[in-house]
Amino acid sequence: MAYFARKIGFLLIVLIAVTFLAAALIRLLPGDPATVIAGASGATEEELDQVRTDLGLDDPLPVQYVGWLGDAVQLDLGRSYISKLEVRDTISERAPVSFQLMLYAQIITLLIAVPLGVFTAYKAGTRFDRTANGITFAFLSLPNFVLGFLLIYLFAVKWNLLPASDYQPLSDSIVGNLKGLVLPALSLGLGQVAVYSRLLRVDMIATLQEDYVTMAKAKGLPIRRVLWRHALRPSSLGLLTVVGVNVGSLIGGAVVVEQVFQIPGVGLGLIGAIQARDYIVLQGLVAFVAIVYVLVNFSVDVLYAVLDPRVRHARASAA
Amino acid sequence: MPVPPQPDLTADAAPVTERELPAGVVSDALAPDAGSDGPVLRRRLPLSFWISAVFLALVILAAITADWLPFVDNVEDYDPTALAAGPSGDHLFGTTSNGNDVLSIVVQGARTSLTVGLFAVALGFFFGGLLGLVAGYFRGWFDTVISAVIDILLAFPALVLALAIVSFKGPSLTVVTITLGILAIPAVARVARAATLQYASREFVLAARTLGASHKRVIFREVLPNVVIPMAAVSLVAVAVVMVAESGLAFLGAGVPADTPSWGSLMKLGQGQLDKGAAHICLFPAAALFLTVYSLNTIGDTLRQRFDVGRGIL
Repeated sequence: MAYFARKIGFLLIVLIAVTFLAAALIRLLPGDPATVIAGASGATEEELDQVRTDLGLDDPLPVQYVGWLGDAVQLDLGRSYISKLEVRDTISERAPVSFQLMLYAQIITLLIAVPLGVFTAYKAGTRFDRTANGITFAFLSLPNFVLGFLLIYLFAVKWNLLPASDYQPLSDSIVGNLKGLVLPALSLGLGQVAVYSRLLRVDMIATLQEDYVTMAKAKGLPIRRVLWRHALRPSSLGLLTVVGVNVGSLIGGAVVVEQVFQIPGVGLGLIGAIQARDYIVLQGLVAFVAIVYVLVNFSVDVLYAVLDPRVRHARASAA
Repeated sequence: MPVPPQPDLTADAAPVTERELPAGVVSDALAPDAGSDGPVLRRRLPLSFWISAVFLALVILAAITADWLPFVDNVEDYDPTALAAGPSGDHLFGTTSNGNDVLSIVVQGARTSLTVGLFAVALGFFFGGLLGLVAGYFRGWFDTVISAVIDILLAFPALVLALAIVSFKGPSLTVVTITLGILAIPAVARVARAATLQYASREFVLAARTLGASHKRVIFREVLPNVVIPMAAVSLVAVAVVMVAESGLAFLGAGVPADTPSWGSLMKLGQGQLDKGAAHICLFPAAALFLTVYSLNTIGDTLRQRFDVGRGIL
């Protein structure tokens, strides 16, 4: 219990720190937000003052932050001065899109990585193992936007199989949605195959040395059954953690991939807000991304501790 | 990404994602089966290592000598008779839609990428290494504070931060380098701290202390030489991560200024031409980035594996 209490305490500190950082970011940047907001040069000094007062720009940073936080906990993240849209609505519109992209990326990655990890473990040290390792390592070195260009060139331009940029909501067309997101998901996910499959491979190799696996084989169970039913499950705990933690790197990657494929997710929103100097939207989106990131990492940590009691006891005794 | 990710400076092995992963996860996953190929120290370096090293040497050489290479034009030069032309004898990598020679931009872009990569990593390793060393050596409250700050900073998506800082500070080589360097500090500090912890309680450290050596001397003369080796392997992967981040930022339009040749901005320029029969504009810088990153990762990974195994024998 003390373990979870400490975790939650730390979680709150981190949440406050990252949202404060998002606020500070905008404050520390050069330029006067009021000028941008009130519309460049046309605004009079009174109008500028009005904007500053509205936004609390004259207050010290901590005061601004507390004000923002007070609104934010009531899910009020302010309103864009450019599009006049609520930041909250922008997020609820864009987040599901990014979420789908990351979900598809994870699914594709796991579909490739799990069988690969299982078989490379079974065939450890063989030519198949080395080849698979070499190929996945190459994909690991392929930045996701570079992979994106390559996929666009091959699948959209050369073979004309899939669209280069055509996002359709799931509610419009399931097939259209999948078609539009396959290439982005591949760009985002393929690099991670190496991380997942190698991790699973190492854990599987250890599991395959266990007595009960030898026992299962000695009983004459088909090797397929031994691998998938007996060995995979105890080997997959490490993989689970990394899949969770990896959501973090996917968030960063998704920003770039959304730009490559012009997918209207949070990342594209962020880039748009930066280019338009849309401070309120930017602060809201950065805070949102950071919060999601922190919460995912936290959940993985806790889940891991729940699944494997050794973790919380080890940490409790180490502290 | 990432930026970098990323994403992604976590030293050990898996580029790009490394920073997001808990220490050890990736390195464990990517570690070879120890000793599978016979005695470690006598094992020869694999062919892939040498190919990567030669390629990287060529890239570095081209980047340094770009101004004197006969096939590299000035940034302003353009060929009005060849707009978005494919590879030919005159223009080995073809030309952009403005008639600029793609090969020239790729070579000069290598200079930009390497400059950012090397200086940002140097910055990150100097400060991150120092913090990690001190935290890992002294432990106690300082370590607790540093570790907590590291955790908080790593909890922030680095690419998003870099994007925001660079686009507001205005695009310049210095801003990009310093931003990426600063973002590398927490990840490097974490690795340096972990490496220091392994040595800080060893006999030779204790012996030095008992003989009356100052903390400063012990840190720099006893601990540092041991920590430097694994960190060097890590730094190669870090250079790759930073180069990817630099290109990513330039692609997003928040990297080095428009008049500085860069792989990322060339890819951005070329993306619009992918379906107009001029895919070479985008694909050549993409290939350059991939091969460079692949080489750095391969060399870093080989050295790291060798080192990890070596550490086992000590």
